[in-house]
Amino acid sequence: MKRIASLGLLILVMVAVGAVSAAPKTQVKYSTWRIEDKAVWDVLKASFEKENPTIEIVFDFYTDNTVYYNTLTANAVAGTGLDVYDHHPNDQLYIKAASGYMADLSALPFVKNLPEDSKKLVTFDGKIIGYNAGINLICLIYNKEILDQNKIKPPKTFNELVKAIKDLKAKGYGGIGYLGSDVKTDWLSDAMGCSIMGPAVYAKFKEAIDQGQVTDARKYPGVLPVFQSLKAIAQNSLLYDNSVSTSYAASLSLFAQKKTAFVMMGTWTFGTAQNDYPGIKFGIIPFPSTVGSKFYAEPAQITCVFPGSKNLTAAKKWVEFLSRTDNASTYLNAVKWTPALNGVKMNFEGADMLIAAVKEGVAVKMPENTPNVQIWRMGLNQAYSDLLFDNADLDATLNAFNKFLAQVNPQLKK
Amino acid sequence: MSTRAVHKYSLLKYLLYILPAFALWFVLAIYPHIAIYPISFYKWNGLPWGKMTWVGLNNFRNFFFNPSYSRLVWKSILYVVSLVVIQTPLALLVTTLIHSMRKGGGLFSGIFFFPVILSTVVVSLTWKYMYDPNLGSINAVLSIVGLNALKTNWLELDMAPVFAVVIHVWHKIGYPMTIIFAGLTTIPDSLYDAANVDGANGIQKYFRITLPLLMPTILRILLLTIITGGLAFDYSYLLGPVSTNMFVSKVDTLAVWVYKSGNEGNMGWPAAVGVVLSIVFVLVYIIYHFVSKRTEGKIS
Amino acid sequence: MTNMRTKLSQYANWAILILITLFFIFPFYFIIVTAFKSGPDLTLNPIGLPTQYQFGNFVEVFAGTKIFQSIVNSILVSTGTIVIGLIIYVASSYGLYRLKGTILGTVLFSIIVFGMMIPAVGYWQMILTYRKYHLYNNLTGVILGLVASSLPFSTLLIVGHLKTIPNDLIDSAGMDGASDMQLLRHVIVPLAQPIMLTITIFLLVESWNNLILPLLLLRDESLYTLPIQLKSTFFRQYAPRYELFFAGALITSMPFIITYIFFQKHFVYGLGGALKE
Repeated sequence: MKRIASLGLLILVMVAVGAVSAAPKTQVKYSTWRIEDKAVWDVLKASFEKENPTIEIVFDFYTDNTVYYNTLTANAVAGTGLDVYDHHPNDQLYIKAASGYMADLSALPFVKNLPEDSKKLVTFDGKIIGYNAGINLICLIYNKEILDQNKIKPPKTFNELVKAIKDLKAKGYGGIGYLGSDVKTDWLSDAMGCSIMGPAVYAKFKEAIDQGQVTDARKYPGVLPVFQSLKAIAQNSLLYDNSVSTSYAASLSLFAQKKTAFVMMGTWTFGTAQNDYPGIKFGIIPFPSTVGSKFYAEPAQITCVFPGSKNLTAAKKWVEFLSRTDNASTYLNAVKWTPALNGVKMNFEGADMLIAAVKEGVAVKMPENTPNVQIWRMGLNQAYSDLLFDNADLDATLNAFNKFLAQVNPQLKK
Repeated sequence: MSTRAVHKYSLLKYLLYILPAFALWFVLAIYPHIAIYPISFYKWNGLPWGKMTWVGLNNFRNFFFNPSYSRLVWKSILYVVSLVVIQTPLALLVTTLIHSMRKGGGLFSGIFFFPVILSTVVVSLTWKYMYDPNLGSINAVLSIVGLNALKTNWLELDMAPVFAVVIHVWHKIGYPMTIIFAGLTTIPDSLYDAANVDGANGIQKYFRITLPLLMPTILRILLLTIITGGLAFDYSYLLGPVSTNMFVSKVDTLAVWVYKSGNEGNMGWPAAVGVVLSIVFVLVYIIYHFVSKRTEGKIS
Repeated sequence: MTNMRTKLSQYANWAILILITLFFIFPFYFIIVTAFKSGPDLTLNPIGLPTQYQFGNFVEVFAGTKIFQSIVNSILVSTGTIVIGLIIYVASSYGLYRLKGTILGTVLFSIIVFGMMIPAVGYWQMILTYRKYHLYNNLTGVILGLVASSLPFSTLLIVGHLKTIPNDLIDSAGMDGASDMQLLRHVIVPLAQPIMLTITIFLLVESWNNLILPLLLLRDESLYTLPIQLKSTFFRQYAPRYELFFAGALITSMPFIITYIFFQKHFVYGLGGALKE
C-alpha cells in the first residue's frame, strides 16, 4: 500500500513538474525597426529569459518601415498583439501619447536615473511615456585622409566650411552628402535652429507658430539667421548635386566611395561603420551656421508599452530590464550611442569623439509637442525647402511664408 | 420566367440562396464604407477603451484652412481628369489603328493588354525606378539625347499625380481597349461602304460615323475611368517617398491620405478624408451624368 | 492615287503603333536587365546592359527572403477566393435570377447596383470590422474580403448571362420534375461555364495582384501575399534594393507571363468581357 502511495505521489509530482514547465509562457512582443541590432537583442533576450523563465520575448522586426507606423496603429486599433514597441521622437510622438497609446512607466526604477533633459523628453502630461536609451549627434562626418592630403583643417566656422568645400571641389570632390530625399530640410533646419537659437528657444518659435502668434517670420527674435543660414548653404553650393533626391543610402555611398569628404549623418552609423563606410578614418564636427557652430543631437527611439497589451506586467518587466544600467550599457556599447541615462560608461570605437563633443556642449533637439503641427508644418517646410534646394530669394520666400501664416493663423488661434 | 408562378415559399427559398452572399457583402464591403460618415464627426483614438467625443465639423477644418490638405482635393481631381484625358484618346487611337490593320493587329493588342496581368506593385515600383532622378532611366535617356535641362525629380513636381496616371494608363489600358473593340464590332460595315461610295476619306469616316456610334461605349468607359480614377490608391501610394508617413507628399491623392492619416491617433480624421473623397466623387459623377444625358440626346 | 494613300496611311499606322509599343515595352527592358546587375553595377551604370551578368540577385531573393512563403500564401488566397467565390456567386445569382420580376427581386437588384456606387474609402473601419469577426490578420479575412468586394460585379455578370438561357429549357426540366439542386447541377452550371471561366480569370488576377486588402489586414510577415512581400522585402526605408526587387518580380511574374502567352485569348476576352457588362 505504501509503495503504491509513493508511486502515486511520484507520478503526481512528475505530472506537476511537467505541467509547470510545459505551461505556456507569457509572450511579450517587441516591435521595432532596428533589425540591425539583432545580435545584441538576442543576447539581452537570453539574459532576460534566464531571469524571468515564464516570459518569452518575441521580436517583431519590421523590414519595411514605411508601413511601420500604419501597422502599429492598425494593431493598436484592432487590439492584436501590441505589447512593447519603439517610437521615434520625430514622428509625432506626443500626438500618439495624447491619444493614449503609451502606458505610464513612472513606477519603473530607471526614471530616477535620468538626467533632466532625458526626463523632460519622455514626460507627457505628467506621465513617463517611454524609455529612451541614448542620443545621437547629427553632424558632419569627415574623411580625415582627404582633408589631411589637401591640407584642410576641419572647418569651425561657416566661412571656413565654404572655403573647404571650394578647395575640395577644385580637386574634383563633390559637396556635402545629404539625404535630401529622406528628411528633406529637417536635419539641416533643425541643426541651424538648435545651434543658432538653442533648442529651447527654437522649440518656442514653433510653439508660437502653433498658437497662431507669428505674423512676420522676419520679426520673431532670433529666427532670421536660421533662414539666412539655409539660404547661404544653397548660395554657396555646399551640398552635393541634386541633394533633394539623394537617399540615406546614397549619401553614405558617396562618402564611402570618397566622392566627397563630408557627409551629414547621424553618429548611430558608428555602429554600422564597417558596412556604411568601410576603411575610412573619420572625425566629426558640428555643421556650422552663419552665426556659430554647436553640435546638435537627436534622441534615438523611445521604447513604449501599449496600455492595451494583454501582458502588461510582463511588458513592463521587459522595459525595466532594458533600462537597467548594466543592460543599457550592453546595448549602448553595441550600437555605439551616447547614453541618455546616468551611470553608463562608453567604451567603443569613436566613443572619445562623442565624449569630447558632449563636453563641448550638445544641443539636444526636443520633439515637437504642438497640437496643431499638421496645419503649419508643411508651410514651414516649404519655406525651408525653397531656400535650401531651390536657392530661392530670401525675401520672396519669407513673404510667401508670412502669407501662409496669415492664411492659417485664424485657424491656429482657436 | 415571369409566367411561372412564384409562391411565397419559393420566394423564401430563393432568398435563402441569396442571403449568405448578401450578408457577407454587406458586412465586409459595404458597412465599413458607410460607417465613416457618422465617425467623421467624432474624435476617437480607435482603441477599445477609447471614448468617442463629438467634435462636429472639426475634423474637416483642415480642408478649409490648410492649403496643404485642400491641395489634396485638387490632386485627386487632377488624377481623375488626367486619367480620362490620357487614357480615353489613347485607347481610341490604338483601337482604331489596330482595327484598320489587316494582319498583326492581334500581336499589338496582345502587347498593350499584357501589363494588366502584372501586379500594381511590380508596375509601380518599376516606374518609380525609372522616374528616379539619379538611377532612373528617364533622366538618363534625356541626358543622352542632350536635353539635360529637362531632367528633374519627376515625382516632386506639383504635377506628380499625372506621372502616377501615366503608370495607371500603362497598366490598365487593356480594359477600355477591349470594350471599344466590342463596340466597334457593332458598327455595321454597310455604313462605311456607303461612305466610301460618297468618297469620304479615313478621317471623315472616323469622325462622322465611328465616333458618334461609339458614344455609348465611350460614355461607359468614362464612367469606369472616373470610378477607378477617384479611388485609385495603389499607384500613388507606391510611388510615394520612402520615409515616414506624416506629411503629404507631392504624389499623394485623397485615397492615399485616407490610409496615411490613420497614424495621427484620431480615427475621425481618416473618416473625414474619406467623406471628402466621396463628395468629390459624387460631384464628378453628377457632371458625368449631365454630359452623358446631353450627348445621348445629341446622338438620337 | 488612292492606293498610294492607303499604303501611306498603312505605314503611318504601323509607325505610330510601333512607337506606342516601345512605350509599353521599355519598362520590361529595365526589369530584365536590372535583375542581372549587381548592386554596385546598378549605381554606376543604371541604364546600360550589365557589365557582368550575374545570378546573385536571384539567389539572394530565393534563398534569403520569405518569398516562398508569400507565394504559398498567394496561392492559398487565390484558390480560396475562386472556390468560395464561385459557389457563393452561382448560388446568389441563381436566387436573384429566380426572383426576377418580383418586388423582392427588384429591390435586391437595386441594392446591388446602388452598393456598387458607394466609394470604398473606409480603410480603417475595415480593420475594425474585420477584427470584430476574427478576420483580421489571417488569410481567411483576405479571401472573404475579396469575395465580398467582387460580389456585385460578378453577380450581375452571371445573372445577365443566365437571362440569355432560353426559358423553355428550364421549364421543360421543371416539368420533368427536377428539383432546384438538379436543375442547378445539370442545366444551369453547365450552361454558365463560359461566364464562370470569365469570373475565374477575373478573380485570379484580382486576388493575386490585390494590394489594399493584404496591406490593411495582414500584419504578420509570414502571412504576406506576394505583392506585399515584394514591396516590403526590397524597400526597407533606407536602402531600396532595386536589383533584388527586379529579380524577384521577374521570377514571380514568369508563371503569369507564360500562361498569358499561351492563353492570351482567354485572358483578353475574359477580363475584357467582364468589364464590358
